[in-house]
Amino acid sequence: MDGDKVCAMPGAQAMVFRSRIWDVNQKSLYLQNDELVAGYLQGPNSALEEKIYWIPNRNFNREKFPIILSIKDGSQCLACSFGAQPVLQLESIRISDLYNDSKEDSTRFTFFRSYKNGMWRFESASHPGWFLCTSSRSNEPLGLTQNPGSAHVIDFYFQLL
Amino acid sequence: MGQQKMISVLWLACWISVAYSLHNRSRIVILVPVGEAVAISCPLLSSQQSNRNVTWYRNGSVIPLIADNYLRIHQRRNLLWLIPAKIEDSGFYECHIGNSETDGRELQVFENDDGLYFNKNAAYVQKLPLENNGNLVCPDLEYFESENSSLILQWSKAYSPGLFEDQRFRALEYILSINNVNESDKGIYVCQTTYTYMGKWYNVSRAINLITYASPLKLPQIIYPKNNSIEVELGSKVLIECNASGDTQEIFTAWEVNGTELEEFDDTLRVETYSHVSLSGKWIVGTKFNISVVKNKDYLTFLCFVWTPTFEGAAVYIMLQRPTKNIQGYLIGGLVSPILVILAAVLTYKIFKVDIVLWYRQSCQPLFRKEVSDGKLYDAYVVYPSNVANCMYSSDIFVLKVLPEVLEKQCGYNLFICGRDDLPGQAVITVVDEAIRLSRRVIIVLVPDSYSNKVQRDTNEQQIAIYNALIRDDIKVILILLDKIKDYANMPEPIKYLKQRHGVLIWKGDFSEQSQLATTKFWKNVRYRMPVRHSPPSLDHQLMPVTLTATWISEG
Repeated sequence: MDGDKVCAMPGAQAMVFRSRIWDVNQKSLYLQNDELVAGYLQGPNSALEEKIYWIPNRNFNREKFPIILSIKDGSQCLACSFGAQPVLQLESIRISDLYNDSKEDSTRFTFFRSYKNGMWRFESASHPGWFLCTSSRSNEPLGLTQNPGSAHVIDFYFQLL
Repeated sequence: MGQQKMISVLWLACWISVAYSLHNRSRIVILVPVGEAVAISCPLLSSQQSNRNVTWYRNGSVIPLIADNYLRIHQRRNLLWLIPAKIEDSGFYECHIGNSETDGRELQVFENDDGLYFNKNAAYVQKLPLENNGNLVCPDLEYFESENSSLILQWSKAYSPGLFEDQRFRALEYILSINNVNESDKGIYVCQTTYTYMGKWYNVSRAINLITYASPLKLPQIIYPKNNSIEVELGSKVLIECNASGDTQEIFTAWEVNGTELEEFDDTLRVETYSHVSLSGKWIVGTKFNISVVKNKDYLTFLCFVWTPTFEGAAVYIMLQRPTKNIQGYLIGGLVSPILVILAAVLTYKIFKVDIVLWYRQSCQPLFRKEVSDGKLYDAYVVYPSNVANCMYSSDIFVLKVLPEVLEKQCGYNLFICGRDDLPGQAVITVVDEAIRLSRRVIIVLVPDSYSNKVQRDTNEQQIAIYNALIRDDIKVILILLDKIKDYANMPEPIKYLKQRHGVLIWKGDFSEQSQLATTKFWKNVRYRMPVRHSPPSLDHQLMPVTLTATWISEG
């Protein structure tokens, strides 16, 4: 197995996959002031792109393609905050620790992937109807929306590395 | 010119090294071609905070870059503008918010590649999957947009004049849409606009490096299972495997039972996944598990899920079943074959009944011999139509010659034949009554013609005999018809009744020696209806081949 493509995390049976995610407007993800933002990375800046490390969440029906997303080699996971109006957060928890977590504990880290015309959407498992989104403007944080449209882009390319 | 070129190369090398050192500091570098307009935003500010005041400084200078629109480098709406950018502008620019918050941007002003209107190293990488429609986006133009709301973009592709002759390309605002992306579409695209400032026009251009990649929707082929069932014996060992092939290694397979992952469903089972490249170059990915001893609880439907990151997946099942073939075998063996055996036995008995009974009688003769006497003197009382017309009829020959020859001489029976064994002068009724009482069977010989022609008169003894046969249940009647009769309607009623009750044997033979062998079918049937012999002689010779029998007869 190509170690570059799939990293076996120590202490977990999960295989962690590495992907590149960018939105339909070609904005890539990178960190700016500890925030995951989407913007255009010019020339050498493309090295700043945050790769997404992800695992399937076994607690959910696999037909919905539940995955847990993280950055920084799986050390910071994407989570939806509690409450009716969720906010996307980066939490310092190892993705491999979430692999063996209960459904309850891992739900807010989980997104259901759906595929259409070469692009993916990521719907929050804890907040159905809320999708991962980027702003139509560049260099703005990755967020959540329940009102997709030109201002909130929810279609992503998702390429396994 | 040559010196200028060398400087340009050195600059580029410098930028890249700076860019990499900046990478370690996680800094975004702004790259701009020389002579173009550029606006730099402060990383401390997101667009929502545009009301806060930012102060820009250059390279650690304590003198702020002031908001004087007439200066080539100035601050406007919290952005740092360089209109146009010059080579010597490259460097680090700090932005301050208040007294404490400080961040900055690295600016690199570069010259385009020799003779070209772009620099490949400064291009934005954009990726599109093959065989799909997709868009290229001209990036980072929003600062110019607010100033000049109707930006007019011009798209071109490096080394490809006449881009829009290809109908798959269409430009719309900041977007270049490409229908059905193919491999030849990759390369450098340049989008260009102009920015008007203080009455002058300045170029703004972006180079985009389009990279295409294989369309993600390549379905893996599921090799096994194929929604099938397999039969496994209780207590046996079974290996269950699920695998699929595809273009990439990223195929996932997993077992489930009743919506639960297999290892969770049954913690005694260990699932093992594997992958390898087949001879045809395809990836084979699979998952398997062993059931070392099949128990009743293992007869289940196992669901295998196959999916890839870009393929939503499919499920196939395999069912473990008890071996039904054996049950069928048992059913056939346990139910059908005895029926067949019984049928065969019944058929055999039907066909060979007479031979079997005769063989049985002969082989068990010693037993019969020991039997206590039943008080009978004769084995059969023979009635026949004597005194017919004026000639010696065939019935007389049959009764007086053939019958004694076979039944008495060959088989050892003792017959009472009227007209042979009665003494003249005796009262017929007494003789007949007494003889029948002492007989085990009554043989009635009928001559069909005599009935049809109504010439046969029933003799007294015949009437008495038939009467006896009708009223006495303990005596069995053997009806022998000499030649076939066509119409039984003319038969006397008692004869019809006896025929119905006891059946009839038809004598078709002549009076040759062959017809007088006890082993012929007719005589076997007669012997079958006759009682078990009580008086010997031995019948061994009767079962000998015909030639020997014939010899014996001739000797007799």
